[in-house]
Amino acid sequence: MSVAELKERHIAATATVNSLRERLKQRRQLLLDTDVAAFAKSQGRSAISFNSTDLICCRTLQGHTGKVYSLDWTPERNRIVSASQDGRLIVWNALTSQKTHAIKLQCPWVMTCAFAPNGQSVACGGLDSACSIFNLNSQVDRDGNIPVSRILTGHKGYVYSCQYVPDQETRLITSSGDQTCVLWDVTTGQRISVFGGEFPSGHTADVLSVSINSSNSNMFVSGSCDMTARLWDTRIASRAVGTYHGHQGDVNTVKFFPDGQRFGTGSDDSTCRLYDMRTGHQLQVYSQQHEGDDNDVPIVTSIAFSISGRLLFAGYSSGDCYVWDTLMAEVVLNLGTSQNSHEARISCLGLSSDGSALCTGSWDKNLKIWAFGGHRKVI
Amino acid sequence: MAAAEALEEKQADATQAPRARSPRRYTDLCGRHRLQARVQLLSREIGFLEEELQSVEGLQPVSVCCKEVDKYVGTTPDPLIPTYKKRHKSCCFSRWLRAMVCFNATCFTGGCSSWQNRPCCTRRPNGSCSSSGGYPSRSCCSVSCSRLRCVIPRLSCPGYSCGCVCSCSNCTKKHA
Repeated sequence: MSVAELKERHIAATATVNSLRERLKQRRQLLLDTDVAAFAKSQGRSAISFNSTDLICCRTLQGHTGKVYSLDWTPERNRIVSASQDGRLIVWNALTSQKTHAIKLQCPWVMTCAFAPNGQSVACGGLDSACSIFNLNSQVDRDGNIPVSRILTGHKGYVYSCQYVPDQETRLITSSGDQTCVLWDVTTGQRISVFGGEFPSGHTADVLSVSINSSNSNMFVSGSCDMTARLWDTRIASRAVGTYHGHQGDVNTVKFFPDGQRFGTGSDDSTCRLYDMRTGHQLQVYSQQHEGDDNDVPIVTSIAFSISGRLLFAGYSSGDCYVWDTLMAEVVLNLGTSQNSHEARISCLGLSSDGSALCTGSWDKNLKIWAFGGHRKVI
Repeated sequence: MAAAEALEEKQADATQAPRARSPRRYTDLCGRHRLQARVQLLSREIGFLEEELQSVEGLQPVSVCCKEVDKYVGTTPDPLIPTYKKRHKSCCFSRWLRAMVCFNATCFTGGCSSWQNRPCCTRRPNGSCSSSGGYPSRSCCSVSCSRLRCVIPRLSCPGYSCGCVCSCSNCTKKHA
């Protein structure tokens, strides 16, 4: 086939794709008979009411000398690992604020970190396009540093996000600037599956985040600079199970809803959204009016759901950390204006496994832990 | 003279901007292959979109999903939320049991939180105090410890204390 014919086919195929997408959008619009907030209001629900002292900063973890980029909790024992621009991973005892480990990285340009399910290892990745694994029980080397146990190489771009598969010490999923996600066997260092890439259907831009379904660890969702979130089945790498449109900017963060049937996203377009995994419906948009011109609209950097799903914590580039009532789609608290709040962008956040505390990480070099400090009311 | 003229010409040539050359004509094999790959990708995408269009026909409306979310959120306890629903009288045994186990520092249903910067005090069967959360026992063995007890919430006492939170002290006196 000549180049001219190929160009004609390309134009025709692009037009067909756009037409099909428009038809799909219109069909979905017909099914959009309500959203979560309208439904909740129709059931007589009212927004959660917080006093200013209900959610308080009860710990500030100081020690990094650069911006904090990423954090992760252990599934138990209340420890946190954080990654920073200072080229270090720090493991913290979240209850006592003490540092238990400080790992100096060979490549200081780290962007993500994760705790293994057994709490014995941590993983990190960044601009070296690799994911490094450290065993916290290893003997330190001559410089007092924990040596790297394994380096997972294979990505052709930076590693932006990583997460261990729940209850599987040997499986890890990474997302990358090379537009793919990879499932790794940490023991052998081998890639088990590659999700996306040039030929299989996948993201068409950098993949910035992953979230694995804790109810069904075969499923994970990814968020990308191509403005979509995609659902994957680890057993089927050839194509995404679903593609979720709606955002008008990079999808920086994705997180499964606690019931495992929905997931949330946060984007450069300053909104968070809730999607239904199975149907693909967009159930709710969480959007706040911002003062100032369009160039100052803060981006959503990170999200987490409370253990019931009633609260959605969203960190923004402005330093705000909105607490959304997910049912009413209202901001019920802003941790960014609380006492002892961060002084710069919130870059990452995460909930402890028992749901009793939220940890936020910031470009102000600190991490903070927030917990309920008020009195519970019976209704 | 001729040599000077030649030198002048050479210098003039040197100061003139280099002329742009027209690009060599060659067969753009990489571009053709790239275009072919894009067309293949688009064909695949068309297939996926057609499948999705068919699947949307039988989908439930958004309201069904919203109902599921509303139900799930309403039935799951949450340690970060300041309100919880009172249960019916028929569950009073389970409430009592829950209130009793609230002495455990990790129990969040009753408001206990090991994040609070105070000792989580419990009273042993022999009457002595013990603390958890890394605080020394003596911090519990004070007058305040005698007031710390698990109280079953009632309409007349909307808040309740559970081991480490000393709240609604009037109610604890009532039930002392």
